Formats: sequence, structure tokens, C-alpha cells
Amino acid sequence: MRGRAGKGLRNVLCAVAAILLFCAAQVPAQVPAQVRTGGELRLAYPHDPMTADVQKNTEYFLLGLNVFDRLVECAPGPPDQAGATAIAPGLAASWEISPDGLVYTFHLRPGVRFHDGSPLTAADVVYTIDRMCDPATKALNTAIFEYVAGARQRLEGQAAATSGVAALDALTVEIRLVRPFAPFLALLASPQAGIYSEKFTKAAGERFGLTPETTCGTGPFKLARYVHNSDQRLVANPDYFRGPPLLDAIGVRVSADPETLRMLFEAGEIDLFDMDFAPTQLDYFEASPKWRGRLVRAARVGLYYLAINNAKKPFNDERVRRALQLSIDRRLILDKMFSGQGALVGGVMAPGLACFGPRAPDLAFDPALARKLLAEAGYPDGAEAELVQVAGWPAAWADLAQVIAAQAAKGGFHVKIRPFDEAAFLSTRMYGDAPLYFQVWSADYNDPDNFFHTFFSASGTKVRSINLADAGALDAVETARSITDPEARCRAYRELERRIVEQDAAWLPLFSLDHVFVLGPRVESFAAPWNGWSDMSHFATGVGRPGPP
Amino acid sequence: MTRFILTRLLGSLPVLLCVTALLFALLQVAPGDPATLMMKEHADPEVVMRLRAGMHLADPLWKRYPRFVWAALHGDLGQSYKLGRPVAGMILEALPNTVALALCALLVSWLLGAAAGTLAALKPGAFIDRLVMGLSLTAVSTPVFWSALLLQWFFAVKLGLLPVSGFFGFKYLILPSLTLGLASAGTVARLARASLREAMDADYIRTARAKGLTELAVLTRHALKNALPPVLTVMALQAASLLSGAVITETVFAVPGVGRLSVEAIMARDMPLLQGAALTAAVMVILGNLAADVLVAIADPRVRKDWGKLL
Repeated sequence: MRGRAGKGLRNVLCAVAAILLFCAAQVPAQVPAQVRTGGELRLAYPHDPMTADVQKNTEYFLLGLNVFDRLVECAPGPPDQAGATAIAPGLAASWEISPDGLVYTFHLRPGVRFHDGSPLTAADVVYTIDRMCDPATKALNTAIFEYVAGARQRLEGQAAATSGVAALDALTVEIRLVRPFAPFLALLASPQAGIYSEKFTKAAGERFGLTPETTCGTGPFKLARYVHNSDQRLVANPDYFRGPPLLDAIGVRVSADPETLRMLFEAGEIDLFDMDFAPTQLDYFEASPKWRGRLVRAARVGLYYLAINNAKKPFNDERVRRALQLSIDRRLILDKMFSGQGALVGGVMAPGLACFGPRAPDLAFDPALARKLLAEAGYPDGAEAELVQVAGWPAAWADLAQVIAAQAAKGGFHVKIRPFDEAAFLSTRMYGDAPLYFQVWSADYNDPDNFFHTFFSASGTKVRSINLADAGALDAVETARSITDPEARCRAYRELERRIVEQDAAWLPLFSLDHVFVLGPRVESFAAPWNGWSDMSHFATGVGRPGPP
Repeated sequence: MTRFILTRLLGSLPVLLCVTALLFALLQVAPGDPATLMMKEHADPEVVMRLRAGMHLADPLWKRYPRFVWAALHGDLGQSYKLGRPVAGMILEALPNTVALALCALLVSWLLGAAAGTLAALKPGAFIDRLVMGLSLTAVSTPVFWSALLLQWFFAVKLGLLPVSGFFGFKYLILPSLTLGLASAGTVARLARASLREAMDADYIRTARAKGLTELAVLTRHALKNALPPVLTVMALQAASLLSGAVITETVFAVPGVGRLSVEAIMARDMPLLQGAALTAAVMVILGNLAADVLVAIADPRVRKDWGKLL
């Protein structure tokens, strides 16, 4: 990964490279870019976005990614380097990081205006960070600023401001950290780090992000309509600092039923069909002569994994965990259940993630050896295990649970599928008590920390009921956060990955599935985002005329 | 009549208290934590602890429930945990959609059901009778989610006449109203037929016929009036249940109504929102019952006389 925290001259070079990369990234790889034709892109989502306020949302960022900008952005690399990304300038035109990795200085782009016409200044950035840490905000994403000096005191109500962030002049912001924190720049590019206007946001108070009148950013689109559980509408910001977006507007409808989504698409009422919202429809679209040529596949920086509770019997024995790793034929599941559309993942990091190496670990499939290991561990007649199945999860996941249970049986496990209500499951998991479960994780920011810290930090490993017992590995996850040399840091993560997957057998990665979109007839330019999410900036998406009625 | 309505309304206050108290108690024992649900895959123990503190979840039930009742009496239903919006506002925003859908569905159900039932009752055993009975049985036993999909596929995808889903004007109301209306029209038709048949066999009908009245006059002036009370009761109760939110229909057709809010609230353990939705449903059921009683009294003078004794 290029352009991330470095030193001195390298930083400047990185910034230049990043600008070039970002310009290249504006040209979508899959469909040729169009001249601006205006028109409305019509989308449907199965859920309401809850709020445009990215500080108070952990799940839905379509509004946030289009209404706000961040200091820096994560942009896809050039087409010849599949999967590569770079940190590119956003609202900050350039930045410096002190050699000790503690002081970040951002130089804001001059002339940027918020949707209400007021200019972006350093004070707005200072306010945004302080608002996240202000306990009165009740923000959910406080973790991204946890190492900013004074953030903890502010969060705990002991300070009236976050001391580590200051405006040096109208366009210069300095952020001081309490310890070197290598993922910080990547985190500033995450959707949670959108920059707000101090004046506007203060006036909007608790209603910020809930209505068009109380939402304001610098982004390519303005929120024009938001009816809870019904629809949202975004209109182009003609004064956007990168120039107006290709579209005039984005209309988003909320349609909770997956069957209805396909009918909306087939009836021409929406322009983009997102297979993540209705995975069972893939076979239909692949077989349809009408739609086959309109499928776009995007790699996803994320993975499906089977979380093994290392503290719970029988999985508190390394041999039993290894036996489970050996019992699952991941290739078969990927090929048969998901038409082979994705890649096997053998480690903690998903393809496309910074530091993901060509020599990532791989897991063998050997049920006979699994049974032998189980016998050695004291389970000659097989081991009992429970696998979670949550009622609200996608229907395809219920099938996946059946398949995993059947495959594990060949390796000597008697897996009982245990139904849970989502609320009950999440609170059981929070206390580290959940049995075997599978889930998917995709990158919020392009740094290995987004995966390692999520699953294998002292707190993360418990709240996810993984309970990694290897104290050395837990420490290493913390230490890796402050390694400032990018090369050395990647090496540390690759070693850690081997230790967790091969030595501890603590983790069972499955695969990374491609994200499939079907483009409606009106869509003329479209590029999936770097991480393969459904939520993306539609700055470069274009539709042809005629527009919708 | 006014006195009766007022007494009934006063009498329903304890019902509302019981409903909310029961819900409070049930939510207390239901597993799951709203703070964890807000964070889902991004759960961070520190943030969850802070959120929980803000929700006053650690307070005992006997403190929280009176606080809720007191605020509710002042028109304040609290703020949704998950969405940060005032619950009363959310319900007021969703209720008109639910009401519009319910009224259209009821119109379909009553007109279609009553007409079909009457037709069937006039010629018992004839082809039309058997057809109506067959169709109404089908309508009653077809699950709403399935008939919804069929209607969407036929009218929106195949014919392109109507929108698939959404809620942006009258055009969007047609399919969901049909879906809901057809299901309850079956019940109304069967009940209307049975009730009318019973009336048609009564002695006063024989007398009316003997007086030389035309069959139409017998039907409209004597039979229908007597057959009405049980049908009215069922209709009013249907109205009550539709007005508290048709969860499946609202979900399939993406109608932003009270039913959707309730599901959202349950999934998120969003207690203030769930309390608000439950309170709305309880009020609707109480009003529906009251409407049934009043309508029956208007149709049947004997009932009015009984009220006199009760009060």
C-alpha cells in the first residue's frame, strides 16, 4: 500500500503519487466514464439508513459517503494493480506526519464550501473531532479518535475540549496523538470520519443528520429528502470542489423484502440491483440473456469466517480447533453454494487489504486427520459442538449453517444448530459466551489493524466470543499499531497471521465473496468502491437519458 | 349514547396501563440489549457501557415504568434508542400511512365481502353461491406475503400497470389495499352469507313476503338490517387490527407505517419505540371495539335498550 504514513520526503512523494492515483481512480474500471448527462440514479436498499450522521451510525453509510468528505480518501489503485489502494487527498490537500508518528498536520484545500455556502476552515475539523469525543453527542464511532491526545478525558467528561486537536491557522489542523498509531491516516479515510460544519452542526443539535434541513456537508450530493422507512433523495452539489457529479440526483427507496427488490429492478423502477441484498437471485441473473452482460463483479476486501470460541469446550484444546479447520471443505462450499465467485482466504487478512501477502497461510482439508486429532484430544467418539443460526440473518446463511454442520460431521464433530434471536445472540456474544458462529467482516479502512484489532485485541477477542488465549499474540496486535515503518509493520502482521491461524489454530477463515451488481439499462458508468461495499460515493456514477418519469 | 361512549373510554384507561406494564415486564425478561444491537458488528465494550448508562437501563423497573407513564401522560413517549428521534413524532409520521392503507383495504373488504356474501345468500346452492364460497375460502387461506408477490408480479412486472412497491401517492395504494382487502373480504363474505341466510329463514321474512312485498324490499328493509350486527362487529374488529399496522403487507410493499416501526423496534429492542407502537395498537383496538358496539347499537334498537339497563 502506498502513500500511507511515512517520513519526510517520502510523504510528499506519496502525496503526489496519491493525487495521481486518485485521478486515475475517477475513471471506473468496468464501464467507460461518460460526459455529464445528469439524470437520476434510482436505488433500493432493504433498510433505512437511520441517520446521515456518520458519528452515530455503524452500519449504513450511503448518505454519509455522498454528503460528507473526509480529510483523506481511500481510492482504488490503477487498473493494472488489481486491488491496490492509496490514501488520497480529500479535504486536506496535503499533510505531514512527524518522524515519531505523534503529530499529524493537515493543510486544508482552500475554497471548499459546505452546502450552506459557508467556507471550510480548520475550526470545522477541530469541531468535528471534538464532537465525536463529546459525551453529549453519544457518538458510536469514538474508537477512531481514541489515541488523540485528550480524547479520553473528553469522553469521560473530565475536559471541556479535546486538547490534542488544534487549528494552527484558518486552513491548518494539527492532531496530536498520545502514542504512535499507524492506522490513523487510513482511519481518517473511513466513512465514520466525515467532516462537519461547526456552525451548522451546533445549530442542528440532536436533529443533525435526521432531516434535510438539519444535514450539511461538503460532499458531491446534498440531502434533499429523507422519509424514515420510505425513501431518501440526494441532489447534486453544483459547487462540489472536484466539480459537479455526473448525476443530477440519487433516489433511494427502502424496500425490506428481497423478492420485491428484483421485481423493482425488472419493472425498471430501480437502476442497480445489488446482489448482497438478495443473494439467492444470482443464478437467475447469470442465466438471463437479458442481464448476463450487465453483471459487474467487484472484489471485496472482506471475508466470511467461522468464529471458534477458544475458551469453550471442546474448542479450548488446540487439537480440536485444528480438527475443525481440517474438516471444512471451503473450496466445495465456495464452488457449490456461491458458484465459485470469490477467493479462498487462509489467514486473517482478506485479499486487497494492505499487507495482504501472496504467501498468506492456507488451510488443508483432511477429515481423516481431523478425526485422528479429535481422538488424541480425548474425543474418540467425536466432539459435541453448537453452531449459531440467527433468525434475522439472510436465508442463504441458514443453508450455510447446514453445510458446515454436515461437513464438520465428517471430521468427527456432532454439530447441533442452535437458533438464536439476533438480540439474544449479540448479547451472549458480547460476554464471550457464544458458541461457534459464522459472520462476514469487510474493511472500513484499508489497514490490517481493521481485521487484527477487531478479532484479536484483548477486548475484541472477548466481545466476539473468540477468546484467543495466546497472550503473546494479543500483545503483538497492540504493538503492531505503533510500528511506524510500513514494511516492518506488514512483516509483523504476516507473522502474527501465521501464529494465530497455524500455530494456535484459533481462527477459521472461509472465503471472500465477490460483490455482484447488475446494472440497469440506463447505467452508463459505474465503479464499485475499493472495499466492495454496497455503500459508496456515487460521484462518478452516471446514467444516460431519458431520465425517470 | 354519549354517556355510554364516555364510560367505555374511561374504562379503557386501565387496559392501556395493563398493556404498557405487561410490555415493560416482558421486555425486562427478553434477552438482548439495545446498546449492543446499535453497535452490532462494531460492538466496543466501552461504547456499549456509555450507551447503556445513557439509556438508564440499570434503573429498576419500578422506577422506569412510572417515569414512562408520567411522560406519556404529558404526550412525551421518549426518544427512540436506535434512531434518536422522538417516538411520538415517528408514530405521527407513520400513522397516516397505516390509516390510509387500512381504510382502502377496509373499503375493498367491506364492499366486496358484503356484496359477494349477499349474492351468495340469495341463491343458496346455486353456481354463484358455490363460486363465492370457493373464492372466499381461497382468499381467507392464502397467506398475504404470497398473494402480495403474485399481485406485484402480475400487475407491476407483467402488465406494467402499477408500481411494485413504495408509497408515493394513490397509485401505490392499490396493490397493498387489494392484498389486505381480499384476505379480509373472504371472512366478511362468508359471515354475511351465513348471517343473511339465517335472517332469510326467520318468521318475520315469511310475514313480510305474505304482506306481498317485493323480494328486493324484503331483502333491504327486513333481512339485511337484521343480518347486520354480527357482520358489523367483525368489520370493526378488522378495522382495529388493520389500523394497528399490517406488518407483512407494509414490509412487502415498503409502506412506512406503524407495523414496520413495531418490527424495527422489536428487532432493535428499542423500548421507547416499541412502547409507542404498542400503545398505538392498544388505542386502535379499544377504538375499534367501541366503534363495533356503537354501530351495532345503531343497527339494533334492542342493544340500545340493554345499555340503558347497564348504565
